Amino acid sequence: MFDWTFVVSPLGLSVAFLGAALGITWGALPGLSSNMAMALLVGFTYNLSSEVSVVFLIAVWIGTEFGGAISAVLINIPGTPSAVPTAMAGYPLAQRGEGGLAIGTALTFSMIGNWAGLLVLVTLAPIMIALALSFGSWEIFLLVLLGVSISGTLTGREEPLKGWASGWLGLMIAMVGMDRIHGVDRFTFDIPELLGGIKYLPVLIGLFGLTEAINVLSRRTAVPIPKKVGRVLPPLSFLGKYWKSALRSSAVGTIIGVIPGAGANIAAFVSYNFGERATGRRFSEGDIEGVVCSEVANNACCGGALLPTTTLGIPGNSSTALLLAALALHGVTMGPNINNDAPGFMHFLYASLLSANFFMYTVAFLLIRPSVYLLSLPSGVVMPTIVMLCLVGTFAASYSSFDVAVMFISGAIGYLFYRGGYPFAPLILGLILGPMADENLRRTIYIFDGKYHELIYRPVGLVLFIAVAWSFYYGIRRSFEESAKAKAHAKTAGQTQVGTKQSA
Amino acid sequence: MVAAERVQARNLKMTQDESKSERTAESAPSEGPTSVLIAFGLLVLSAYFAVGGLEIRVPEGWQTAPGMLPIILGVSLFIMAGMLLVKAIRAGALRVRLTHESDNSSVERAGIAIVFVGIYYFGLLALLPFEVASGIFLLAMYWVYWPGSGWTPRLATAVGMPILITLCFQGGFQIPLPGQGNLILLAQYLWVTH
Repeated sequence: MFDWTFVVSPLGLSVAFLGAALGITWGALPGLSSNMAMALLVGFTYNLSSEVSVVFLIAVWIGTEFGGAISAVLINIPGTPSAVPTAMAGYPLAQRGEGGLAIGTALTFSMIGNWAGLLVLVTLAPIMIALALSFGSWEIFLLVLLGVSISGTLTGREEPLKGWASGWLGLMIAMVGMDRIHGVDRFTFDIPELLGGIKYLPVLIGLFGLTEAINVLSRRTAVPIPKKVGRVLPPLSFLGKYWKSALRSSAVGTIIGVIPGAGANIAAFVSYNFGERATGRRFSEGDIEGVVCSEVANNACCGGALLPTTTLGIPGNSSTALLLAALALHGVTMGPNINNDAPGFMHFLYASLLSANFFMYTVAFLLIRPSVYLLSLPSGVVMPTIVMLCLVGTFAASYSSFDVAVMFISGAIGYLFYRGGYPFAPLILGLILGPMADENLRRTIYIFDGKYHELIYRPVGLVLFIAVAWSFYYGIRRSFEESAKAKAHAKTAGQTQVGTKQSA
Repeated sequence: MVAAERVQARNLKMTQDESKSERTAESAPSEGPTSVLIAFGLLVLSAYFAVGGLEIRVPEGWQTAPGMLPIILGVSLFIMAGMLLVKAIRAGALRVRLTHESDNSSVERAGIAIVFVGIYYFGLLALLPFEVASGIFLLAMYWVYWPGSGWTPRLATAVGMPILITLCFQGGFQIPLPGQGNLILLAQYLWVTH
């Protein structure tokens, strides 16, 4: 039973304050993403109460989403992937001595983005829950398939096939262990630890903690630290000046947040592009409005992403997948039955988001200037500590050396996947949703045995089926378009080379 | 007016193309031997799952067979991996060498990190207490990845960080740490008993 009054108790407020401060600091450090923060902290929340864990993790998440903007604007290295557009629009401002103003604006509009996401969550969650309760096995199976396929299509970028392959691999890994219907062993190799399946927490820590640490360590980056930050508090007139961009970006952020697997980075890029189109300006030359578009969208994404996570049990992005994992450790299963399984959870979540938002805003103003010093910390010092925390975090959740091995293997394979251009989000979705897909597919086949034509007359199922088909069609079409573009580009380059040789 | 609109449209197109290329650059390295390696690995794994799925016991009818989804997933992933493999080979991934010095150096640095982490997780922690194993690991990592600093800051951080983590997690949150025992706990025990 969750009681929202805990959030406003002295303990709840202190936890939110600590979480927001940690999140902002974490996000400000180049290379430390919100996913990494969540992945590492989930294990540590095992010994804490569910209330403290939720408030803490939400505050960390909201904090890191903003914190990424600090290093993005000041040193052109986005703290989190979703802050890349912020860096594009904000770094030129920092070079002109307006870095503080850009960060202050990012902060103010991040808060507006969070409010928009929260509003959508509060409004739509009851409707979604009511709708989801009417879903049968067929609809749930299709929903999982839709989540994994859309996630693959969107995150696979130029090659959706890689996104789908990643998602399918996640689904396959989820098949390891004892099946839920008959209790039959599948791919366990007589290893007792595999009977319960491959736990997704060590995989998440491996992919988002270890892989990212290895990634950062593999690069040599010298960071020039700015001497002057300038004014931080934005003028009130900015609210009137950029309200249209804020509104548009809120809509973009929440809609993209709702789509399973599509994270804040996609929201920020789409919003940034929409902003450029609407204003007719190039934000990359340094533009406060570009910072507004990016920050509102990536923060609005948080509320949006919580919608499918809480109501359907399908994570909206990697961070919510980690939140799902944290709650699973405490015996809370998100999904349509959330109001029965964990009474009061939804109100508790709203209150946590509000509290996190409030502390993000207040703590950030205090932390902007000191965090400049943090930027000078070399990654060679920070990342080995992260590796150590990956180990401690994994071990803390289960006290199992087997899970540590799973985490290490995931991290090493994750690095290969990164180099090969395979996205992680579909893999995570597949891994989490695999058992759900398996159970519901078999149940559907059993129930509709011999009368499969009846599946066509189920309207929600039909819509979902069309959406799945469209997602694959769109991905395949984009893949062909990209191949054609690459061929044309290679041909033009070849002709240019021949022309140069002939003229020589 | 029309000309101005055209210029604006061209500017917008340029901006979109630019941001797209920046996105691509940010996303991941291009096709190379790694793509072939991953596609081949997926091909083998999916084939194993598809065949293995057939061998899983079927307690009731085929409708609820536990191997059904693994077979479906195995077959479809096999097709995807095959396509990715062909695409990568046709794109010249096997002919691509890591010609850029930065690429070579990056892979080497990542390889060293993975080896060090492996030795730390499975070698040092199996033999030594957490603080000692972590101290040795950190010192080795700082030696490679924190160049230009003297030995004093490296040594101080390598000794201090594991102690801080032990105090924080084991002392503060009561979270057990991996490794063969724990020096700080031992010291605490000795202090209390004597």
